[in-house]
Amino acid sequence: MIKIDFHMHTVATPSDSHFEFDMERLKEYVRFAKLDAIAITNHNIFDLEQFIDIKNALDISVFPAIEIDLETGHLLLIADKENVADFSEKCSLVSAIITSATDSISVKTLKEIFPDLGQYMLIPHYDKSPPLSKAAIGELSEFIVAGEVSSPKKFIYCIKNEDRLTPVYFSDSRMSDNLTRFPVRQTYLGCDDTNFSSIKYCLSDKAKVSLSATESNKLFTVFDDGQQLSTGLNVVLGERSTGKSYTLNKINNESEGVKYIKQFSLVERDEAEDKRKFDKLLSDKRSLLTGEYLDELQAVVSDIIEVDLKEDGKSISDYIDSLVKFAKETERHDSFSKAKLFSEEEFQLDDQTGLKDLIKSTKNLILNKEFKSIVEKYVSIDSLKKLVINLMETYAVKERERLKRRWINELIFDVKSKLEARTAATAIKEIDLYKVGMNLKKVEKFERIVAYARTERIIKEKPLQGFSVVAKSVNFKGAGELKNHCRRQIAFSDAFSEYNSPYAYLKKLQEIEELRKADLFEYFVKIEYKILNRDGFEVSGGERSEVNLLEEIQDAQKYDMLLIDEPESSFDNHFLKKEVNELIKELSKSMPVVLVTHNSTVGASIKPEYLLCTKKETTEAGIKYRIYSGFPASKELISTDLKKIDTFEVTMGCLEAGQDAYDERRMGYENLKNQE
Amino acid sequence: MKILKIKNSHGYFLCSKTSAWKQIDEIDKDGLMDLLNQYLNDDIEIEIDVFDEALIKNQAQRIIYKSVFEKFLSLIDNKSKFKDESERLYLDSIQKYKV
Repeated sequence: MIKIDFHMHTVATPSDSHFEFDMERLKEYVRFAKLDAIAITNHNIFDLEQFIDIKNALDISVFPAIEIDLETGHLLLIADKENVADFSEKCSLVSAIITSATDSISVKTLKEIFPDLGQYMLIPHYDKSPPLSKAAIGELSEFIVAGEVSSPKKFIYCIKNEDRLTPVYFSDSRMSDNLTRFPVRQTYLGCDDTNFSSIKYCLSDKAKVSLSATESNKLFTVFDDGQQLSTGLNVVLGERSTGKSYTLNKINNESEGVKYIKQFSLVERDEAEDKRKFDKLLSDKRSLLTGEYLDELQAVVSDIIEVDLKEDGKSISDYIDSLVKFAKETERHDSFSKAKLFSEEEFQLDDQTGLKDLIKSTKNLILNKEFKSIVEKYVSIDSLKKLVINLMETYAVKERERLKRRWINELIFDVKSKLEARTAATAIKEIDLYKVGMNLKKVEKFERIVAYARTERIIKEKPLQGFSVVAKSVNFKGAGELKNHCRRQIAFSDAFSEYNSPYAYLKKLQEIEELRKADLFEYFVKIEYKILNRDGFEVSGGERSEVNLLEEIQDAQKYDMLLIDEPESSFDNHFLKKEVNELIKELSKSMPVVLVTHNSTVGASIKPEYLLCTKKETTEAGIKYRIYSGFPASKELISTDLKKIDTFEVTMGCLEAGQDAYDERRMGYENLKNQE
Repeated sequence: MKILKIKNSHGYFLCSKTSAWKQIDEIDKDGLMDLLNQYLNDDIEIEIDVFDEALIKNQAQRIIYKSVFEKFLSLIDNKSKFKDESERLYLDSIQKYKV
């Protein structure tokens, strides 16, 4: 078994923040982490001189390498030690192209620079930012030996999934004197040799890579003192003030992608505050549900916003008044007003939306592959093709007609304006009765839609960790509710007086300058959200906290590791055993979970994969905090400095308050049972 | 149902509220809106007498009748288009929210 780190930086490039390489620090790291082989992977550069220095300074295998900005991702390209001069020359071509942090090369260029890619080990950023694109990985697949990941969770995921690359986990650290903590991100390989071909061969087999030396992928290193954690479920035990929370904080600070649920963070201390938090949780879910339910209404409202019946009424009035006036003042008619074009109507212009939709639908029928056989059962594709051609021809004719009419309308307008300027007669105002009529229809339908949408009904019911979220459409009960929804100091009383006349109400809302037009649809229907417990009642304060905890644990799926500090301090045993344990156990199948507890319901019944026990020990040298760890079945837990304690005693002491107390409790329960 | 007619050398429009015929030069915006609403009523098929300037003696009536006639002629010509368009209007929304 060898331990490697094939991703580290020793030269500050435009892609790095500035640092000074420190050879001594690198040597310490190699010694401390007990590395057998490293690769020097600077961004788009290979410093031959420095590489030779490093190689001479270390007594392990050092491979020449480069980290290349390839398209939108990064690629590690590692060479054999034997070809270093040739490699250096090729890398200088990369350096000549990539001169700034935003430059990159294409796969094609990479292949031109390194025509013999098979001689190298190619390791792309895989489950790590910035990842190499799927397309680029596909193009280079025959040369790629492994994919770099950024956490043990992602490492395990790759191991478990056949279609994923062999994962590798490297430090990606800058070897400078600022490196205060040694990285714990390395990969073990199941081979004894550190030569290039052995390593390359090993990487081709997932079974030969692991996160720990002895326990394959069950464990990974979390602290630079060698402390390990399980890649599954870890339980941290310990008496008060022995460093349990300190340990969690340290993991949180030294690891990436951690979700940390702190002690008491979810317990209800202030009902109003808790309710606010809970409502926020609901509102995050709400946007999804609201969006789904109100999207159609949103589209209608945005159309109706443009309708102005008042303006339409004024147009009718202007038209008829000017027409009657013009007709009655015959004595004022002159050669200008008597011209036919003076009182000529403009042509109605069709927008052809209906015909366009029909063409589109017919095309869909022709192109649809999934239901082709059903379509053909009733109508042949040939007929549809003829139909679409006919429709398109009709469209062309109508469009030509429309353009002609538009041109004539422009001409009429132009002539009328000139005649109007010269005559004493009243000009007849234009009106588009078709549009006025359509607007009336729009408003009529809009009012019907709002009435339908406001009808009280359950629009969605979704399970949520044993509870259920129910979304219901209801009416806003008053201006206050509108204000609450808006979350701003805006007066809605005037608008709300028209709430039952949707069009008039919309116009009132439009008058409120602070409201964005795009948001007005939200003020027509209130979506009420409730979380119901198993009995169908709205959740209590305690249950709210339970939902919060379960949601937080569920949310951890997005992270690389979950830390939970003493959930028993906020919740009862029944809930912890039934809901929390189950969820944590499930989650720990896909990511490391670290749970601090001294509650037997949580600690013992959850059956962890790994136990850690924190101890505060007073020695002659002073107080020493130690972590003892091991598998629950092992007789002893061992610290990184090889001290041992008895597993049974620790478990009893921490979870059951010691053997005596446990026996006493057990006896008590048995007596109670016998009395029945 | 007829909403515009020419009779005895005069142009008339129908007032639906009173079912009475009024001379076309008495039309105001309410009268025009009334005619439009009759057009919009799907249950009514409206008819109009074709404008013929020789049949209307009063010059003012002639001008008004001609203008209103042309407006409604255009609407009647587009009746099926209007019907299609208005029936399609917000159809998805109505189907979505209808209980």
